[in-house]
Amino acid sequence: MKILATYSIKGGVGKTTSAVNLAYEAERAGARVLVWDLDPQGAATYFLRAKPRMKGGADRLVSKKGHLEPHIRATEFSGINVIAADFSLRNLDVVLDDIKKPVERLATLLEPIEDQYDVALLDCPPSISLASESVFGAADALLVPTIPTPLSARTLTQLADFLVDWSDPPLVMPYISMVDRRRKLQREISADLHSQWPNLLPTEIPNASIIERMSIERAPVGALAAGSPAARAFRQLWADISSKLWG
Amino acid sequence: MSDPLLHRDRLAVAREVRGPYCTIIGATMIPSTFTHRVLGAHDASCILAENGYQVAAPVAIERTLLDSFDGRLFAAGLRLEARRQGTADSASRTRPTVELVLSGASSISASIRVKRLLKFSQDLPIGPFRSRLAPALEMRALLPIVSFTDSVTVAAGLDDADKTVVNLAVHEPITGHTGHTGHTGHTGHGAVPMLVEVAEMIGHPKPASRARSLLIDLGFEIVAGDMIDSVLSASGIDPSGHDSSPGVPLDPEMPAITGFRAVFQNLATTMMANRPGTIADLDTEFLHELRVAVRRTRSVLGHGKGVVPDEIRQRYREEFAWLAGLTGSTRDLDVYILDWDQYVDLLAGDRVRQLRPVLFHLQQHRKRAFREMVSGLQSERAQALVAAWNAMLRHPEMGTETGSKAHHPLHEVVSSQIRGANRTLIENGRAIDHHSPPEALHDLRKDAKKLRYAVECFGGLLADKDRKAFVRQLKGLQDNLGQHQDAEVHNDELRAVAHELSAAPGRTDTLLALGQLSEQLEIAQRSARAEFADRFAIYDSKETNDIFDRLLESIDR
Repeated sequence: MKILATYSIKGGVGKTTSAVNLAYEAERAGARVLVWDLDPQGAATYFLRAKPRMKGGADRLVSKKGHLEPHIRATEFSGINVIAADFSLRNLDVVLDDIKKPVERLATLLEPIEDQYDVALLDCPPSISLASESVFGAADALLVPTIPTPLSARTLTQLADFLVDWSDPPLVMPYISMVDRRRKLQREISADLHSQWPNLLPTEIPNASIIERMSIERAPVGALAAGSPAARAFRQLWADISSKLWG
Repeated sequence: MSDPLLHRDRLAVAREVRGPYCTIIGATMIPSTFTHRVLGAHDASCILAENGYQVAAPVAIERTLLDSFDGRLFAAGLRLEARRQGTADSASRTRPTVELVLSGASSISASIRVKRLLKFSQDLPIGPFRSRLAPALEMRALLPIVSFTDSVTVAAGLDDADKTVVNLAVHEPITGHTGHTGHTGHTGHGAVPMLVEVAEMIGHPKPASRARSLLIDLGFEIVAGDMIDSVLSASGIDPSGHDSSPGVPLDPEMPAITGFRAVFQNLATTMMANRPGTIADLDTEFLHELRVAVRRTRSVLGHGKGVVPDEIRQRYREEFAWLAGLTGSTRDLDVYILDWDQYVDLLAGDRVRQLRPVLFHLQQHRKRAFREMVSGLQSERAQALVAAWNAMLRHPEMGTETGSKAHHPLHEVVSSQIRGANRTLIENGRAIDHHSPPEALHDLRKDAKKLRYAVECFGGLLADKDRKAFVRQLKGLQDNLGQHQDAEVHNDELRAVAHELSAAPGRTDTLLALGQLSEQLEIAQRSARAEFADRFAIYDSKETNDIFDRLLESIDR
């Protein structure tokens, strides 16, 4: 099982839409997929039509007796299972702080199910915190959506700087998200990002209305409009990720 | 605002593209299966509808179980199925698609849509699906094991929020299913009764439990396995596939000729089983297995001095040598092409690109060699050989004359042969030094094979544990000798390709790259040669000798 996290220090860059759409495309490409919604907002849970409830809350899950399996639910999207988020996750940092080896905790929770799935996609809240570090400790790769704006690009640098001291850091795979190719500044920043970040995935995710409609339809764009440019972009993005991880 | 109707329609369309049956299988636990002695599929669907399940229109799915000839996926605990789905309504405009569904010990199945049925795992796109199949299948082709048309009606159990929490699949009885053995098929005659599969959705055990209780209350009975298991059973197909292993059950006290004949019969079965796949070029392993069976037959004929009549031994050793000779070039080129990536791995990227014409030439050589081989395998001489050999094996004494040791206890003869083969190997190995020509190593490789074949073919007399331990020791030496010879054979082939390329204009870069590759092979050969002394010392050691003694003792036990 490969553990991937859609992660960014910055909010509103397309983490959750990426997690849901990549989960859908990964499943279509033959993967057994688990989405773990770590964001107390529960947007991925909402998109995947699951109930925002975690029995016992984050406290119990992170405790010594916690296990992931009882929290896994089938979704209506074939081959995608989900661990739903609820509001207790807002305290994830606090409960992690109360245990030994908090950075290893998410990895140890995922260990028992590693033969059951090919991909675990962790949808993370925007921050850089103890919970983020626990994500870094578990993840094989961080998928970092990056809007071609100066502030978003800056957070990518902050992340890279933060991981410099890690002994076994996850692979950082940034990609351009929510791009509007009509804007000159975005085109220029995209070009800069491509030249500065050799790991930047080649596929760009457009800023498309069909992605916005996901929250109304509660479904990945591939299920709503498989032939749309946005669906094709997520499909290609998954192919980029696949060739890096399994090629 | 959300338009619930629009929303449902779009999801329905998405599901239709994937297919409702495929959809339920992808997200569920391994189903539990039921049948009923009286009720039919239509009755079952009606009863489920009356009990609040949402019953969809029936769909017809062409289902084919895929595996390699030797059942590698089955052995790895995997099941791969191809499903072509159209609706039962012939007027439907839905275009059938092929979906490959991979299931295993895990509770979740994976599926991937493909444009056409694939032959090899590497034909799949890079990703986890391919990564799960590839290590199990290796170079083997996917072949149809059994095919049938499944008319299925899905009944969904919904919760208060209209979310599916359990699925039941009602399958019509199946009377026509085609079983395949390699690429030759037969039609099964056993019928599969109406089945209902209850597919539990992960995280929703109670609705599945309620569905199972309902079926039991209605007089349904539990069936072991699932739909595919029922079809396999009705078709009489063993999903473990063809077993090309040389061992057969043997009794140490049986007359030697009886034991030898059992070994020959098993090898002849392997030859016959692999011949069609070799000629159809389904994958490279058919030829490999065929070749190995021929070589083992020759080797066992060699061990059969005094057991098999001399005239028979002589004649068939020559004839099988001819048969093996037919297949040598194709197999050498197969190994070369299969190992190509490893060979060029040490070269720079540019050089690998420049070597593409060489690979192309090797593939062309292989095509020519293959055509010649097939012509030989289909020749009157080859067919007469197989027919005469099979007729010979039907004769209890394998001929009218009786060998002097034909009625000695089998264990005595085999023990003596294995001991002799080991002695020859050690004596010849000890005679090799730094000045010995490469041919000495090639001959030693043959000695090692002769010993290995005796141990494997008469493995039925030996304790499994001792046999495996001994073969492990011997294999270490064989691997070294194999590397040495492969490098030489492959370099000879490179010289032939270089000769052809040198006549073509604009091939300078390719020839230079070819020179580098040739150098790599020479390095590999030198390294194998340098390693030989150490490898042989491990074989010619007290440890191996003790293992060998235990092996022979196990014959007498």
